[in-house]
Parts: sequence; structure tokens; C-alpha cells
Amino acid sequence: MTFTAKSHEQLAGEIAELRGRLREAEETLRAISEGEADALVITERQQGERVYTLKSVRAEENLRLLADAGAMPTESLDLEATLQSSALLAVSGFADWCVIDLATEDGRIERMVAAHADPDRQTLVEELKRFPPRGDEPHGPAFILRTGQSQRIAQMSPECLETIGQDPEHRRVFAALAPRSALQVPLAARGRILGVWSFYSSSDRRYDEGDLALAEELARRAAMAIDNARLYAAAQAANLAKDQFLATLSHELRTPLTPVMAVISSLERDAGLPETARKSLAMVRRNVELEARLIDDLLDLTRISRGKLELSHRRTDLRQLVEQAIETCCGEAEASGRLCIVRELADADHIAWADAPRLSQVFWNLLNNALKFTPDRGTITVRSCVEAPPSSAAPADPETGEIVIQVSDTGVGIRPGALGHIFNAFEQGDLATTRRFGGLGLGLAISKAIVELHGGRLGAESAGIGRGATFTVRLPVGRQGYEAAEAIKAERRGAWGVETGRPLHILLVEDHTDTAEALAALLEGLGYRVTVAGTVADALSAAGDAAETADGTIDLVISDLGLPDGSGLDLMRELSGRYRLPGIALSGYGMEEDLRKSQEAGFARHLTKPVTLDLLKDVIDQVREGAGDP
Amino acid sequence: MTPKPGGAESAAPVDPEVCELRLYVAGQTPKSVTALANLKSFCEQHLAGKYRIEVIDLLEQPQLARGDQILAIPTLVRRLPSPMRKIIGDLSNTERVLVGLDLRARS
Repeated sequence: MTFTAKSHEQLAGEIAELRGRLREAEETLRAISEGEADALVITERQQGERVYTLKSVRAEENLRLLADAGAMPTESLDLEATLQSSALLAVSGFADWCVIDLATEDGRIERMVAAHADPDRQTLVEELKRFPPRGDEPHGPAFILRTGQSQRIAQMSPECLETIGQDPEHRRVFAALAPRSALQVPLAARGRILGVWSFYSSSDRRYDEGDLALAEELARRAAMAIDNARLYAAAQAANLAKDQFLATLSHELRTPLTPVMAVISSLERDAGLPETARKSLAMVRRNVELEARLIDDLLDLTRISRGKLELSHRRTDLRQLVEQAIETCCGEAEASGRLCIVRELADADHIAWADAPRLSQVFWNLLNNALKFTPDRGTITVRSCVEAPPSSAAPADPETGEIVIQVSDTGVGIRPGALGHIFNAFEQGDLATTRRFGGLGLGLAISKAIVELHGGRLGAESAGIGRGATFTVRLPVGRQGYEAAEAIKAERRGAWGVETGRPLHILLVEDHTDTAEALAALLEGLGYRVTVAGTVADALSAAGDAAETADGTIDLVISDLGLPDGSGLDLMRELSGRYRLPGIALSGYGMEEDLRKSQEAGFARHLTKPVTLDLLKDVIDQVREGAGDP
Repeated sequence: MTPKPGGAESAAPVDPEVCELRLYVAGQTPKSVTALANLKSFCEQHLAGKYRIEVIDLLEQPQLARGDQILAIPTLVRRLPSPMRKIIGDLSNTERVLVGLDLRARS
């Protein structure tokens, strides 16, 4: 391979152009991260021609949505699964069959799910999917979607059936399903109607007003879950687009550096080159390498945010890494006398199970930061020590404890308010810092991620503006960090929908089977574990059984007061006497006398039916917190 | 590896005979609308009678994004006087636009 030697002017021109590009890239990222611009994403290539497609990437907003979606612990974030489980919930007692229709973005109505309680009739009910409602229909789901009004048909007459259906075929399927009573409720979330949920009874059951209220509550929960699933999907897509954008940008910037580096290498091999040219060439190389590193940082960041940064852990002497990093980064500043570099490295083993090149990157970042932000005649101090784990009084064991490496400077310092977000990507202390010192503000974010992938921590302290800063890396000694890191990786993989801790175990005592099942399903939807009992005897034996098992113990009782074999009041007296259980009474009676009685029996709260799920949840939380008090 | 002091290049403000500007937008997004409004009022204030604005909607002509290497929307490109300059964002920061277009008055 041969390179045409380029003149200095040509090279200088190329470098200048690269600088311009990098500046532009920084500006682009700034504008996007500050919400002043949307990224343009290249999504496909056709016959060598790039096709540009537009996508809005509102990074911050989407990250917030993502966080919100994550904060909803109860539902699946998968739309299909959410709809399926909602439909199954409905046909497990409350309805014989049900249909869920959702409005699509382009104004159509899509029939997402049709479910039947009887598996033999599932095929029949599925046929309804061939007849999605049309937007202009005067009744049925389309009408409810337009008006947002729930509808209850207590008794469906044969004449009524005649009016339903778009054509004879539709009417045939409908008639075969033999609906006799129906409820149709809107699926509404955040003020928007997302769809309609239709419940049908083909048996003797006639839906009453209470059923309608329950259907509305079910729909409210389902709508929330649907909304979450959609937001999550949108946020994920946007996040992916953002990563893709960064990857493209980095790649576009990296590519032209390759020939420049090749030319520099070939020039450096030219023995006839005068000494002055050689010096300029070294300068050019250093700067191109710096550019390349900035771009690599961008690429790293995309890998980190996709969870794709892989580490290869090896037995590593951190002391050696730190010493090398100091030589590489600070050698020039020290030799020229610009800064004073103080080394206070402890005389102990600094052995950790680590990815040496990645950790070097961390030390380089911290040292370069210190160099960048420390004015002439300042001091950078690098300290290290090995600390015993806080719990143990024994001297540092070679396989426990922490290696602490500190980089302190006497530089510009960090504003107290900025300490919290200096580790966020694209954020430096403030905009003035960005303008004054340049850089993408990625180094610290990457360093923090790398240290955390090693099972360690990276922290910053500063006494304030103009008073220097100290960055502290803490890494576990020996193999423990590696094991901790593997655990973190597993945790990140399962970050969605993982319940932490043991769910609250509720004993629900209710003799009305449908109400019990529906309520149990709703409570389970909130993340609780629910055991249902229909009688006082069942409830007592369930509580007894649960007390026998290790983690099955019941935490809370929710009980109806009128039970077939006795009173909920007697039951509560038993349970609170035997197991000291807190309880919530659910009753149709709410006179003061009733409240007093239930309080005497040991119920912490008395709720009068009908209760909303929100209220019930609040009361459960209150009672649970109260139960912890002495 | 010490950083270079900034402002090495001379940034002599250009006397804009005619400033030829191109605003890249993507449909009527709020940011694009804001950018155009900001641009118009900015030009009236600082470049009255000496500017030309061309608005390019990339939803209609996506291929044009290539020419000026547009990576984000909205982006303002000063095509004349050369050298070409780019300002990314909704142009709400007048100071940034002044600097970007090289119009900041000498202080």
C-alpha cells in the first residue's frame, strides 16, 4: 500500500476541517440534549444512496417517560401481554366473553383481543376480529370511542341483536355467541380515549350498575397499563434512535481520521524528514489521536447505554496502571514545570480483578480533567491506599477491602449544585465551562460506568468554585469486584419488571365469588400476593396454613362483614388475637355504629362499598405503615 | 495534552452585503416554527434589507440533507458570505446566533 505524501498545508487543512466537524458535532449534541433541535436519523440505504428519514429524538422527555414507565411496578410493559391478561381477567367470572378495540394512530379502530371463557367457543369469538368497528357507526364501540360514555345493556332483546353487526356474516357470529347482557366502557388514560372494552354475558347474568362500576375500574387499570406499554415502546424506539444517531455520528467522524493517521505514519517513517517537520508531525499526531479518543468516547457512551460495554477481567496491578497514567498524561505538564504532580501511592498491593485498558481510560480521564481545569503553577495530587471493609476491624485482607485512588487538584473547582450532575453525559459543570474548556462532557460519565462495571464507585468532592476538586475511585480488592460486577450486569439485564423484596400478602375474605375474584385480580395487579377465602372457617384455616410456611405469612386482612358462616367482626377478633394481623373492613354499611363496631373488633379501617381501587390501595399503604409501629 | 487557548482563529465580523441563509426544517414541528419566527425577527433587526431566507422542508426533499450535511433539525446554514456556517437549534438564543453568523458587534 502506498500513500501519496501530502504537504503540510494539505494536512493542516484536513486537520482544520476535522476540527470544524468535531465542533459541529459537539454543537449538534448540545442542541439536541438541550431540546433545541431534533436529531435526523439515517435509517436505511438504497442502492448506495442514503435515504434520510426524520425522527424526533427528544432525549430528556423520553428518558423521563422511561423512568415513569419503570416506576409502574405492576403491569407488563408489553402491549399484547397486557391486553391478553386483561381479557383473561374479564372472562374469569365477570364476563362470558369480551372484546378489546383500540384506536390506531391513523384513525382506524383495531380489534386487538377477543376472548371467551369457554375454550370451545374461543374460535367463534375470534371471528369477531374480522369485523373491527368503523369510526362512523352510530352505536357500539365506535360510538363509545367518540363520546367516552359507558354503556350498559341489561337485557339484549332479539330486536336489539338485529341492529348489531355490519353485515349478515357479522350478525351470524354475534347471534351464535348469544349475548344477553352487555357492558361497553371506554379505555381512557391521561384524558385520551384509547379504546373500548366490551363485556358480554351469555348466561343468566344481567349486568347492573355495580357491574358497570367494576367494569369501569377494570378499564381504568387496563388503560393505564396500555398507555404505559405504548409509552414504553415509544421511549425505547426513541432511545434506540438516539443511540443509532450517536453511532452514526461517531462513525462519520472517525472514518476520515483513518487516512490522516496512515499518512502521518508513512511520513514519520521518512528518514529524510527535517527535525522541525518531525516536531510538527508529532503535534499533528497527538491532536489527531486526541480527536480519535473523543470520538471513541462517543462510541463508548452508546455502548454503555445499550449495555454492550464488555469488560475482560484479569489480575491487574492498579498501582502500575496509575503510575503509567500519570506518566502518559502529566509527563509534559510536569517536565515543563507548569504543574506540580505529587504522588502519594501507598506501599501495598493494589491487586484487583480488572480490565486494565478500561481502567487506564478512567485514570486518564480523571488526570486529563485535572490538567484541563487546573491553572498554571497548580498542584495535582494522586493518592492511593487500601482500606479494610468498614464492617471488619481486622487489617486489610488480600481478598477483601477496597483500593482507593484519589486525584485532587487545585483547579477551578465545582459549584456545589453542579456536583450532582457532572457524571451525566453531555453535562459539564455548566455551559460556561463547556465554552471555556471544550470537550463533549463524556469522560466522567464513561469513567463512572466503567468503575461501576468493576463493582466500584466513583465520587467527586469540591469545596466550591476556585477551590479545587477531588475525584475518588473505590475498587474492590481481588476477585470480589468481578463477582459484584457480574451481579450488576445481571441486575441491569433484568432491570424491567423485577419486583424487589417480598410482595405484601393479603387475605381477602369475601363470599361473593365474582367480587372476590375481580378484587383479587385487581389487587394482584397492584403487585400484592392475594389469598381468597369465602367463609370465616376458610379464612381461619388459610391464615393458619400461611403461618406455618416460611414466607407465606399473611400481612393484612381485607374482609367483608357479612359472611355465610359468621361475621367478619368475629373473624377479625380471632385473627388479630392469634396472629396480630391488621385488617380493613369492607362493608355495605357505613353508619357510625358500624364503624365503631368494626374498630372494636380490631379493624384498622372501615371502608364502605363501593370502594375505588385507588382508595383501597391508599388505605392498604396506610395500614401497612401503621402496622410497623410499636 | 494541554488544551489550546480558544479564539485562535480570527473572527473578524463580516460586513454582510447580502446574507444568504438557508433554514432546514422538517414539517411544522414546534421547533421548526419557532426557529423560523426567531430567524425572521432576528434578520429584520440585524440584517434589514440585506438577507435572503430559503426554507427547506426535509420531509418533502429529504435528499437535500446530504448537501449541507444536516444532522439535526432545525439547522440554519449561512451560505453567503463564505465560509459557510451552521447554527443548530431553534435560534432562541440571540447571542448564539450573532456569534454563529459572525455578526457580533465589536465591543
